[in-house]
Amino acid sequence: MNNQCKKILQVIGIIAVNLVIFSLFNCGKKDEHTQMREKRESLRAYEGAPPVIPHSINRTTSDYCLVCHEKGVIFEAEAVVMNQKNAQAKITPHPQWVNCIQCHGLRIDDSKFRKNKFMPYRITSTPFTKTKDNEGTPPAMPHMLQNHDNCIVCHLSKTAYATIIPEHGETEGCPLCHQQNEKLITFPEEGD
Amino acid sequence: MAINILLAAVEPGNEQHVINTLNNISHTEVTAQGEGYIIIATDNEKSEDDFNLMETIRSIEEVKHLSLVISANDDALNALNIKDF
Amino acid sequence: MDKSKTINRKEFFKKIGTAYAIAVAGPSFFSSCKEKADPSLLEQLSVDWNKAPCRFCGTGCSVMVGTRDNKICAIAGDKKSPVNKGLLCVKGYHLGEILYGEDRFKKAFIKKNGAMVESSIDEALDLIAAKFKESIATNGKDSVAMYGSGQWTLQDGYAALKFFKGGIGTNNIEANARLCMASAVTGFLSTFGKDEPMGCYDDLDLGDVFVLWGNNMAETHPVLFSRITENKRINPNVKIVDITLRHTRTSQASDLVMHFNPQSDLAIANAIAREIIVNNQIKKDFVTKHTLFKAGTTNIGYGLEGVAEPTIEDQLISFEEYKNFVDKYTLDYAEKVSGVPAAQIKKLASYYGDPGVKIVSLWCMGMNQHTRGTWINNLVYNIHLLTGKISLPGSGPFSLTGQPSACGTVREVGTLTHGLPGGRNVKNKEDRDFTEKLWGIKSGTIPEKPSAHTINMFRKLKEGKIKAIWIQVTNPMVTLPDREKFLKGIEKNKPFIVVSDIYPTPTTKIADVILPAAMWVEREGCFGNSERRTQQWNKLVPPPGDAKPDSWYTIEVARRMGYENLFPWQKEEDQGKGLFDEYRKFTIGVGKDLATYEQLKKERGMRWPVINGKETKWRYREGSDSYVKKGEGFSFYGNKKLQNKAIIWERPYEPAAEEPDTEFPFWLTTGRVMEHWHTGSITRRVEQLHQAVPEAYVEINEEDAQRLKIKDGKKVKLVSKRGEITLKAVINGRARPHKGVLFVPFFDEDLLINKVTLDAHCPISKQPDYKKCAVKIEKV
Repeated sequence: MNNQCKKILQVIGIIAVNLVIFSLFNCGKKDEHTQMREKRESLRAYEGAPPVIPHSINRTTSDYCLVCHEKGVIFEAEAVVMNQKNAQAKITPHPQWVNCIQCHGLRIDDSKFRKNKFMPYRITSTPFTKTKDNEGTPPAMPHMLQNHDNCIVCHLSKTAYATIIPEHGETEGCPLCHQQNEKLITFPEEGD
Repeated sequence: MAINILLAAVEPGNEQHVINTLNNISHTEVTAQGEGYIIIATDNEKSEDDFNLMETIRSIEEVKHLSLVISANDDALNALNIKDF
Repeated sequence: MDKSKTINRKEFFKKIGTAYAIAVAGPSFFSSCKEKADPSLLEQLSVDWNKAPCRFCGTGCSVMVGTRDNKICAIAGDKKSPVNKGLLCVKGYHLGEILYGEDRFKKAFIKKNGAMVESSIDEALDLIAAKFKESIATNGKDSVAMYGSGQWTLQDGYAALKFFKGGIGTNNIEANARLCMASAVTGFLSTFGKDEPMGCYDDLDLGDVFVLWGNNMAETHPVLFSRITENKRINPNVKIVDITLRHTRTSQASDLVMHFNPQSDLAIANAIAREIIVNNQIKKDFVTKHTLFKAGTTNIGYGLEGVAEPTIEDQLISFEEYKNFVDKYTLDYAEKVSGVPAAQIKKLASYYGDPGVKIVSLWCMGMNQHTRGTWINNLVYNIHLLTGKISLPGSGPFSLTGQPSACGTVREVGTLTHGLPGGRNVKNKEDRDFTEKLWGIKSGTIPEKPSAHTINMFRKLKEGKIKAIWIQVTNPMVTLPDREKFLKGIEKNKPFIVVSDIYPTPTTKIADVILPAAMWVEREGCFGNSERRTQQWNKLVPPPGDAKPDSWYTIEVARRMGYENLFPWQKEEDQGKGLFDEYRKFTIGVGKDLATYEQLKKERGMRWPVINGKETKWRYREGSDSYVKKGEGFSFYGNKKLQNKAIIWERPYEPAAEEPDTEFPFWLTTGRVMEHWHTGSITRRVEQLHQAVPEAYVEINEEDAQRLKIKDGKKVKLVSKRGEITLKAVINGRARPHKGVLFVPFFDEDLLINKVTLDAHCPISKQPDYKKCAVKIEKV
């Protein structure tokens, strides 16, 4: 085999190895938005349910909860809080309700008593990508607003979910432009 | 020194004409526009300038009605802690 | 990636100010967005939303059920309901899941050769009818029984009652509300002559002081407790008083916490009455015009098995006699008995006595599951009657109900051994005549004597005197006190047991026939909550497999036994309205008038009596209750033979049936936690609720634990004279019991605390006392 052939084979080999290594590392890696959505879903029985409390608590009065959840906390990236790094205490959209644990359940363990086949209502929209066709049209809101109608908390505050912060920043009266759209909500099929 | 937010009721159809006029008046900025309404932000050093400016805007022919919606002076602005957003 | 822009203060203010100005101008700003936003964005989702009352507690919150493709997929609070105003509790928010546990019954089962075999509905119903007919023929009408539930719909209860009393002709029908509300009922009847509260939930928004007599309201009626805390947030002078055996989440929100010795509530209530008399705080004209005084038999025992039941009588007495009786309940005496400092009792009495204070007393199982449950209900009414603080906005006694329809079904339809619909009693000839006439049945069908209350019914079952029983929507093998002796007797005498249920439970385990039941929004129905609000819901999703509503099964068996004339509605779709409309006839004109079915479909329920389409908020008071005539002021028209006056009762302190001693030195009290409903058959199958409280445990006081060298999380054994149970110890968990007191929740079918409890009960109401018995702790 002449040297040129060898070199071509080597290059192809290196590319192939890199491809294998690349796909091994990236196979199954979800984009940031999907990761965020799945984490949110793991705490909520359905979209609109009060999230369970993913950490232990020492007291059950609201002044205790609001210490972190009234204004939100971004913990230092390297600190391990609730078994995670880059943890955040999200801001509550309804600080007027003061009996927090009345709705927000605890999670002592992840055991199951019996299996349940409830099929919840979930958001599956992807982040809005502006194209020439949809320019000027505000994307539809894929969730209901009861108990979380303070858009700023999730979309614009310091503890907002990074992948759903709008480019237009803060403007006026969100629901007047952003209608609700059923096509961005899907329901699980039988057998899911 | 104050920032004033004014709401101008305008003859429907004439909004663009009013906006063009306002664009030639200093210390004013049109921040939003709708059907029959224009929202204007003014920014002056002295309060008498605020009043004069309001009169000027009011005297534009197509402006039917002008109201001062909300205002903030230096102290109020400094009290805003917008780092929280 | 930081997408947010940097905005300086001026720019920010311009944006905010503009937004505000737009709000002023209105939606004409957005002509480019053609559709105006619908004010209720809920309606725009493709999920179908319909109202239903919650399946769980007696609060009766209204819930919006989101369905799609014949399944529930989401839940929201119903903003239009005046009960909960859009808020729910953690159980309510997870109602969507309760229908979908994997082991849901889809078919009927019949026990053949010791194993449960799937069968058709027809085969099961034929067998039930045959067995019941055979038992009646061989052993008489009282050899068959029906045990129902405060979670029965009105329609289920009415069908069962008509079948047993109007068809078979036996009073052997009882319901599990005997175990939760009977003392409240006898308390109402002995004081007012009529059942159910005279106030309503509006009182929670209007009162100044709220006194909780032994109920952990923050966990058991959380949405109602939130109304109180919201009242307090707006009016910081509002006070909450917690009379309790444990320091709970309720205590955390309270201003005055009174730790009392079990049973001594009797002494505290009398001491408060004495304080009011001594301080001249009686509302004299009210007491003279609207009350009478009575004394009754004392030393009435505890209803224990094998002990003869005493005859209970009463007689009218004078105010002077009552005053002398109550005089021995000095503050010092009450402190001695209760362990509560005299100063605290005096403070509480001052709230009751001060004419300027609007005060609401609230209670549930602490006062009802009590061997003197009727008496303690009377005693709290005494305080409100002496001060005239009753039937007024924000002021009055409020007996809270535990189950969603203990009021609506068991108490109002009358599904108890002595009951007939509309507050009627089998003991009264005119009530039996009225019922027989309305049902078109032979005069004399309904027996005059009540046969057996729940505890006696199960005692008869275990002794073989009752040969066949049908259990619907309840789990007595978990909830009967001292349950091992009942199980042993049942295993020995082998009665024929039919169980209608949704999931496998310890009760379905002893069944000979299991019928799969349609639950909640899988069928239409009505519930009646604590504040007399009857609520209706429509069928929203299909039930699984062969499952049907309980009333449908009852009617089918009745037909097979020859009583088809009692149930003219052939199809399930007609039975909901048919049964309701007929039952409603019993309620008209007796102070329990229900709204029409159509009205209930439209509204978020209505509070009876509903007269000319209008609800009644406060009963017995002129201007609010149409039954009170002009000029009467107040009228307790349930006591027609006592000049429409309420009764103030002489009721003494008497000790509990079983108190701690040297061998069994601890009080055991049982109860609920917020996340679990009753025996957990529904809530444990909901992931979020199960994971919040995965298993039962025993709460031990910190000092007691230190003394006994028990560490948090360690297993210990609780032993009583009846049985034992091994549980994990919890020290300083969500609640901290008083020294000498232990608490165990009863939701865990794998850790049955009722192996340890005692079936002592109030001899008047027959309601068992689950709050007190004596145990010892042993190391494991």
